[in-house]
Amino acid sequence: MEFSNYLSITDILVTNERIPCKFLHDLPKMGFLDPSAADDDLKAGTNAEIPIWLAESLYTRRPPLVNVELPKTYKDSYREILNADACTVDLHKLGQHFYELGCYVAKHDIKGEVGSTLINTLRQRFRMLLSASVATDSISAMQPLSASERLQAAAAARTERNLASWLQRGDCPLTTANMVANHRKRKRAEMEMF
Amino acid sequence: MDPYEIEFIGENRIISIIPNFTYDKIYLICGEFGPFRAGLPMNVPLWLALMLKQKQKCRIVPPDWMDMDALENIKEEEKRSRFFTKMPNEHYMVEAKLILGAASEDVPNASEIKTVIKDIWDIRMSKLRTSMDALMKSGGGYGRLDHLTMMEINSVKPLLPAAMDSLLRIQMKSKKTTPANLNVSSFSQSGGSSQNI
Amino acid sequence: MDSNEDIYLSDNEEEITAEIVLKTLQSAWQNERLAPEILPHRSDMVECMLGQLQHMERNISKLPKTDLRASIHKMEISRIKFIICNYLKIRLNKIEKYCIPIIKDERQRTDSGTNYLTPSEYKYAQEYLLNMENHMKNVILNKVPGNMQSFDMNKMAEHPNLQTHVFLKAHETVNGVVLEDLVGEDEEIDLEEGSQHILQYKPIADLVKNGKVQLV
Repeated sequence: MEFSNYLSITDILVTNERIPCKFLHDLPKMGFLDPSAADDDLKAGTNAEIPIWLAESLYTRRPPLVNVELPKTYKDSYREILNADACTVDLHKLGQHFYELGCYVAKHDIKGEVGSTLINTLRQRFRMLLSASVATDSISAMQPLSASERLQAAAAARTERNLASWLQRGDCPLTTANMVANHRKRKRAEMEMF
Repeated sequence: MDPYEIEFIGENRIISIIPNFTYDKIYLICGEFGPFRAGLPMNVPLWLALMLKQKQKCRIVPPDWMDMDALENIKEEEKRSRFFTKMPNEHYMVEAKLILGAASEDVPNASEIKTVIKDIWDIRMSKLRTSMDALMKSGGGYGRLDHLTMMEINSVKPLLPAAMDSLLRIQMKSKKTTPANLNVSSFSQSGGSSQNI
Repeated sequence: MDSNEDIYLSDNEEEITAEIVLKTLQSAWQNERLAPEILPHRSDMVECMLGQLQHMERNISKLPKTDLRASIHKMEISRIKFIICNYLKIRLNKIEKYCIPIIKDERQRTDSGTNYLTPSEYKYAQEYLLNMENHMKNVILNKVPGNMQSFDMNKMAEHPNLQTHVFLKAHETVNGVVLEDLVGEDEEIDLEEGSQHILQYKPIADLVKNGKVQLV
């Protein structure tokens, strides 16, 4: 999950995601940030969803111009589901950059519950990566995985394939007579080793 | 790493052959070997043994551990233990695959031996998957993995280190405030007190 | 054909056998292959081995083509060449990928005489960076508004992830390796001789460099 390089496409995509913010000050001429506002100016107290890259820079001002709030997928109700059994959740549907976005969001969660949910989710879902890497039906095993989980599972599947092909390569030690008599057995043995 | 690279490393192991020709000592960079005396056992690196075998210049002497009784014991022990047991050598799978592949006629009970080695490998691989899951669940910051061979360790790359990296990254980026449980887990039985699950 | 004549390293005239040189190279290759960052170069060993191979090849050419010994020596030479080529290639890959921080660190290391790169690798790194900068300028920067034209080294830098987890085997016992815990509860572990672990690279980076542990 190396996504914090300057030229990282993942990070660019993630920071482009919109998160709910509350504006703390009147901002003249900034009304366009709130699609529901008719006014040219943005009033203090307005709630609007803005991209993370903008929210971060408005938040780090002194004094901060916005208060960052939790997107709904990181709120109580979703956290409860994830903490109960993260493996039942389709993270690809919930937000394919669940962890990456979560890291940005977690900083604004004073109680640290988002952070521990992320960690808990990752720990629980590790076994999904394990089984996706050896699944015969890899498409459906990969489906509920987030973007970064898919990459990890795909890399693990590549390792599995390389290992399997290494194990299968080489001379089959059975003789010709056996090969004819036990064609099926031989084929299975080949699949399993050497 | 690619399995073939690990095979390449494993090919440096010394094994015993019986040459069918007579020759003086040979001075290789990796050491001196010989003299070759037809019919007398001698030690050479595995890669050289395989090369001579291909040229039909030798018989390979199966390593001591490539024996049904010994392997059955290892298999039982591996089944019984919840930890990884010590394998007869660090590249047992490479040795088995190469010797049984190129010289199965030199190994008594080759096909039974192949099956039991494959059984041991399967037991260990499934144990490895369970251990990985346990390690991630119980901490995911550190693990001890004695007695795993290089080929086995390689089979969990990049999955396990990448998952541990992700975990650490989330911990760092989200600045977790709740105290973490001890980031320690263990794959093995030997060693001190610091690795209880 | 005797290849095991003792070799003298030019700098300190230390006596060392070809076998030891090969073992050292092999372990350097394996570590370089598995470490996230670039490691101190072992060009002493590479040069020494290349000389040895040359000597060997000269001797082989004197043997008849069908000689069994010739094919054995050729096989060994190919194996060693693979290690050397792969070792140098991995280093170049890292130099390209982590060019900016490597050059920065290397400047300080050169001052203290503890450089990680060989002079030719250093030259390669500098030229690579220059080419990259020119490329960026020609393709993008010269065509964007003036205030965005600067090439910001710090932003462009890609750093190796020193906190990545690696597998290692301890060559000798090392006690009290401190694993950084993020909540400030550092934990100490002992690496007993022969034991194997998976842990963060950073706390054991020095142990890799001084040969107390081997990455696996």
